[in-house]
Amino acid sequence: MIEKAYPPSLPGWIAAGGENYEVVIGSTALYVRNLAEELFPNRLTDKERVRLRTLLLENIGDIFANYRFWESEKIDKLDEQYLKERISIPWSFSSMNRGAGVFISDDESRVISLNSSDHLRFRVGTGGCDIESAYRVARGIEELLEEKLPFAYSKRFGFLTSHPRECGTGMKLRVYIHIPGLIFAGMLNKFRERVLKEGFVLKPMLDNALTAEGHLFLLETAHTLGINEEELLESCEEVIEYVVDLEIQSRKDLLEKAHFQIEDKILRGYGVLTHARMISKEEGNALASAFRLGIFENLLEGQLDKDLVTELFFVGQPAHIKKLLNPEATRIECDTKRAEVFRSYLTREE
Amino acid sequence: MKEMCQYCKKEPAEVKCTILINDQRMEINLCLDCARIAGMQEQIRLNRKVGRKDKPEFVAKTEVFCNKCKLSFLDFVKTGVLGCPGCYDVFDDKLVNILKGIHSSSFHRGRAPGKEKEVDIAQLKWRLSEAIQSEDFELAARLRDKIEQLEKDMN
Repeated sequence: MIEKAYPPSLPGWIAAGGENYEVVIGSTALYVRNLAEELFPNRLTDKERVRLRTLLLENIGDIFANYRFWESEKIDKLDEQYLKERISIPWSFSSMNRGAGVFISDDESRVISLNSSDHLRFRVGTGGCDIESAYRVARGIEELLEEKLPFAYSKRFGFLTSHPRECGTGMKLRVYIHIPGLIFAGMLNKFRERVLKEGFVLKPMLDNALTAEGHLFLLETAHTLGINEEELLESCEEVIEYVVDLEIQSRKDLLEKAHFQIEDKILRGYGVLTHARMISKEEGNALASAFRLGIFENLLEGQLDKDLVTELFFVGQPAHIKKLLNPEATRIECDTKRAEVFRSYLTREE
Repeated sequence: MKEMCQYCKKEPAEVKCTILINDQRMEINLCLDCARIAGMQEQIRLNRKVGRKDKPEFVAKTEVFCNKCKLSFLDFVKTGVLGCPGCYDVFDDKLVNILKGIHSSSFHRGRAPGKEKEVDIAQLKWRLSEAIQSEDFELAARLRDKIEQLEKDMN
């Protein structure tokens, strides 16, 4: 079912691109809300969760009538992982959890999940660093939902969520960034500490893995209590500006000081991408990152469209590859398929 | 002054527990009994070295439960997840410390449901009482002025 809906390519909202796309792939605003008078999903039985989902659907189903809706019982493990790799469903969503569900818009920019860790979690994404429009749209949805449903709210703690780290505004801003320059320059830790002071957490974006071969990271606001939405937005915009400047500067420095090393790394990666017959997931991520850097810094002229280069990150992920094969594909089969997929991208024009 | 257990507030805190909730570290100081109930085995063994002979089997404590979802505070400490909106009222004073640790604040600012936009007086009063407790009289004076001003405006 998902095969038809979302082809194994870049999610539409990321593909749309935007300002500073070479560093900031996309920006999202996430809202977490719970119903007053109901227990949080983790304390509900399966039966009660199903009842609550029906109640939610009755109230808000018509708002999202044009979106695709999946019930957690009807989504299989591979599709679940597939959607997680596309950041189209939250990590807290599990097909093992009866009574959960998720609405996803066609370009996957709007995702509303029901009964995952909280009753309602919805996020809006925009390509590039346009965090403000993501926030405005998400806020609009929140206001729409609030007319239909009574949200749990206390004057002291704000909107109440199952995790105390999200209570208050219940809103988080996230920016997905590609920062090979900072990493090659050995500045990652310094950068992490600096953004932490500003109230941001840096996490690897793909796979929740601790290693970040693809140099893709997620920058997320850490605080939801004691800071209002507009202030959060402002500080997020400042941090985006900071990271974009820093990354562009370190790329420039690197290319000045170590032009041949960087060029060698990128062209070497290009050689592997076009000729290797087996590529592991980790290697695939690293190659995609080097390739993306090469394209945006004009070291690989005319090789691939700038839009397509980000797609390499997604199509190389395990569930994306398995979707082309079968759910039981072995590692060797997957690695072979991955190399084949990458090659098909690089030889597309011929 | 020796720090008291953050849970029972009766015994001196002897065990420092670090709880990881989705990559966010949270530190809480407990007395031995509370830590044992919360299942903090490792830490207890480490702290034994410092002294204090084995106490007899721990006495069952009167636990604080949320009436609605039956979650106890120690369950929350273990999982980091609350059970229902009511938990915020029941564990109010204990949560405040934890929230301060995570967000460095324990007061909501920003959007409220409905058309409610004005600064809330109740919220300011909470902050005032806390400022007095922590003897930050400068802040307290400012908050008091603000509350007075707001009350005058409303009348």
